[in-house]
Amino acid sequence: MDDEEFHRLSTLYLEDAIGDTNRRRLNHALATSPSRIEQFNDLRLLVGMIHEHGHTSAETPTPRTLSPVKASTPTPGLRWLAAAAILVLGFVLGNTFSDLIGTGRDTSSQTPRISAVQLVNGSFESPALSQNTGYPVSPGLWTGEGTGVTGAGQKIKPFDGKSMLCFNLPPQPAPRSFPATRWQLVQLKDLPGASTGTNATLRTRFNHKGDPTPGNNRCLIDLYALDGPLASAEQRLQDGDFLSSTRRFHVTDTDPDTWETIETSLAVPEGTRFLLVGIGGYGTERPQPFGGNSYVGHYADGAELYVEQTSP
Amino acid sequence: MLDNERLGILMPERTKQIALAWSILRESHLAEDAYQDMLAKAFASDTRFDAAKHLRDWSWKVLRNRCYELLRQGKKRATLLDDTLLDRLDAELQSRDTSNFDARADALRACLGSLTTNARNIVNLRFFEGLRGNQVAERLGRQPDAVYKALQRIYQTLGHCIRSKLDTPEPGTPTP
Repeated sequence: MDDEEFHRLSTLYLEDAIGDTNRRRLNHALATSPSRIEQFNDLRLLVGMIHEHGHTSAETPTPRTLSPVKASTPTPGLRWLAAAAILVLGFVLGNTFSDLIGTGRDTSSQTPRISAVQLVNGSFESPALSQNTGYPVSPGLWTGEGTGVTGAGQKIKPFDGKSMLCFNLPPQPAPRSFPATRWQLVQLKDLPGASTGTNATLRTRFNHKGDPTPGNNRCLIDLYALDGPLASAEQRLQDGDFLSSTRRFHVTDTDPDTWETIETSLAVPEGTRFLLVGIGGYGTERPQPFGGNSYVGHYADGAELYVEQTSP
Repeated sequence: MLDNERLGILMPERTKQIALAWSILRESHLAEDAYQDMLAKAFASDTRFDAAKHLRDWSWKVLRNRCYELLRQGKKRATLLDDTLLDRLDAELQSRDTSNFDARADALRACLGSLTTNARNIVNLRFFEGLRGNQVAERLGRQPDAVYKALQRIYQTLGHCIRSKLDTPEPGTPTP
């Protein structure tokens, strides 16, 4: 096997796109040549290094950008008022919130595509974030830790309204996965067509106070599709047992005057009952052994979720 | 052994261990999760680590097991090489000297800058948006094979570029 073919098979293997015949060929090439083992590990190390240090500032093309559906989506302020009203009603009635959310969603069968705003308190105008530090166990609440709601400060004004989410976890003694993340579950049960061609798009705005430390202004958004009963959602997430997921990292610029809009989309798999939205700070590019990660200085605001039917 | 001591022993292994996790799970965020799970376990463990080597060996074993556990939990059928070969590969990876990794990282950053915009987009989509190769292809309106080929070229280009930069010190850099 020549070098070119060896590299081709190695790449296919790392992409989990290698067929059985080629897997056997690669296996044989590696088993019979120590230098091939070194070459293969050179490639593995390169991949690990790209993961660690390879973030570039290249613009990622976004094939389509969802426009908020003005006709069916209240303005941010009204959306907040509607969400707040639902929040209060939900507490009073003891119901789950998403079951009640009708505001902002056009479920008319005359509408060819549905774009729904379903996140409760997506503009973080309410300071009532859940005290639950783990994954949510019911829809409509921001759970998580290392974050709080704040007004303008550190040269940053909220993207909309008077408040925004701030990442305020102090440096941690040891690196953890995502200690500064807010999560919200959204129920899909009453969205027609959710199993026959639906895209979900999470859009969030991020800002940073402008810390010039390289790598200290990284954040992410997550979108997971879950099936099964709600009661088991937390366990399923902890077990990594979800139908699909997407994640987008972002390195914020150092200009506190600008909010950057980040989007990620997911084709909602058949059987999805819930979407889990996550907004997090990702800390330093390289975990610092003794200083720990700091997430202070990140801000998020204007979180929106759109669910769009792509086929009737 | 104090937490800081454990961390000081494990952090130099991080890039190699991320490489191990990535090559099993093939997804950046799963690889990161597996690594962080291992790290959390290292701090919570009651195991008495008598020497740095003991902790290092333990961490590789725990990470490898966690990766396979995540594969099972995700109900994914990943294609893997034969077990005995994986043992040899992982042993060689584990034995690699990490002393020049900072220089390699600097070289990588410089080399990424010389990639075409399209190549950098593929890197970002694959590694930082967490898309798999076929999803990258879908996003870009290309065939999966074209993306795999592009990744192969990107890896080869970066590999050559990094070696070249490491072999040619910057002007003014003292030579041994």
